[in-house]
Amino acid sequence: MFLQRFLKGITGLSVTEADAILTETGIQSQWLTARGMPVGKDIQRRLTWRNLDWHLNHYDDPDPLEKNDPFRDHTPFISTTAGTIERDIAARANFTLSAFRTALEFATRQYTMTGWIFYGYLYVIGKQSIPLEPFAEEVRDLHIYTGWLPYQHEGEITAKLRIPAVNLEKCEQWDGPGVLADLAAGVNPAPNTTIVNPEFSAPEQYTNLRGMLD
Amino acid sequence: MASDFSDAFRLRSDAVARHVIASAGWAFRLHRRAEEMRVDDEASSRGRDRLAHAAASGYTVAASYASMYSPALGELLFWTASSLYLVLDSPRLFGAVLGACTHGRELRRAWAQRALERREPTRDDLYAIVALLAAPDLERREALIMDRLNGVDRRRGAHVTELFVPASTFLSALAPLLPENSIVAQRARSRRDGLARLMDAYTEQAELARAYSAWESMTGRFLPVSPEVLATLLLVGERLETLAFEPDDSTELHDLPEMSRAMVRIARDVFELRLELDDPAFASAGIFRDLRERRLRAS
Repeated sequence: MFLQRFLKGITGLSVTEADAILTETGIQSQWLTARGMPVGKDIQRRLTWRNLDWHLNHYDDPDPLEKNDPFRDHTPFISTTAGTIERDIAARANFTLSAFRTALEFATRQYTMTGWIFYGYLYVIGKQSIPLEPFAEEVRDLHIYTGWLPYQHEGEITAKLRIPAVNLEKCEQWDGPGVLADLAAGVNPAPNTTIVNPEFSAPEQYTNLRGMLD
Repeated sequence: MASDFSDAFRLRSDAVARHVIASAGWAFRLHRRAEEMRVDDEASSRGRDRLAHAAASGYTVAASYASMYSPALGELLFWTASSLYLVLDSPRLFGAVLGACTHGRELRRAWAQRALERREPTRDDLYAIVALLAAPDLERREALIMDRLNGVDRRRGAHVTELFVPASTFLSALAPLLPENSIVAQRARSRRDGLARLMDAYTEQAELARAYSAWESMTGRFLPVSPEVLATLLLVGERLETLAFEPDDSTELHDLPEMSRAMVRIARDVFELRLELDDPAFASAGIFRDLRERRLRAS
């Protein structure tokens, strides 16, 4: 198992709402938000290959299993990004598609509004583990998810049901048009606000390196 | 004043302009980081090159979209990307194709030299031919092209290009510029017009790309203004000293789909571009003025 750092861009939150997600509720899937904490078979019925496929490839489509509501309104999954490497075949070079830029462009709707980037970590096991609630799916990894994924370049790690607040380190508010103005001027963009989660449980303490007794 | 072709690509022009600034802006940051990086061993040198490659790729994306509304800005960004690939000593000749989308004589000459020095075993024969055609005043051009064409013939030109179109399709479009005794030129005479076939292939790829929802967010890797198609159109225009494929005047291309017509008109705008003209698009971002200064210094 690995502890995988991720970023999550969310748009349209007030400072109060962002703080509540960071320190209390965590990041919840739409399904959880809509129906409260489910148990047992309800979860098993949701965490399926079919629903992951719809989350990745039919997010806005009407879902016949949900009275043709858009799938996104009932998804048990949460998209996050950890960046990825892309092959530039023409230049015969690989280069990095940054998690930060992907999260920022989601959060600010392509630099048109203000949004938030959450920093945290997830648990991954390097294999598909769709029914297992605690583990996120590394759908960006072509060796684990070998099928064609149109948005592979977004570097997605897909979490399930809820990312607990204890896994969230901080969140930053970014002003999309302001970032674009900075980029246009060749200036490094900076966030408007940063909120740190005092209850964050840093992943470093859970790696299997043992300290010595003093 | 150039036209804005965003509509023809079914994209919103304000979103296209934002995408250009964001792509070029991030590329500019990577470019500067690469320039400022201290290099004292092989690992740090590789790290710097990775940053510069990513910057060149970002400039290429920005150039493709900028060409929709500003031939001057598109040309500058293609020039910047191509120059970076050249400095990077890129093992491929894709940078030569980008260079052929510019009016940079020195840049084109440098890529032709690179094409003569390098004999990559696969794929790059088409790009080498583009580099040789784009270079000004090249001695023995026909013989050098013939040499490369022999390589293409052995592989029947079947390898795909960045546009996922066979190299042979591009060669058919370039046939009027190729040595008359080459098989490609002889075969081309018996086929329907090479440029029209190329534009058909381009349209097919563009329509496939547009079917994905990544089209509107412009996050896919497909470049709507294809550097390969743009370079081909410009080369035919330059060498024949006329843009005979202008769809308004042509009997063969007048019924091209909207996106291909836009592509041809973009080529016309770049072809007719006078670099001394001050395009309003340069005022949209300080980094564009900076890149223009760099170019002026380089020349």
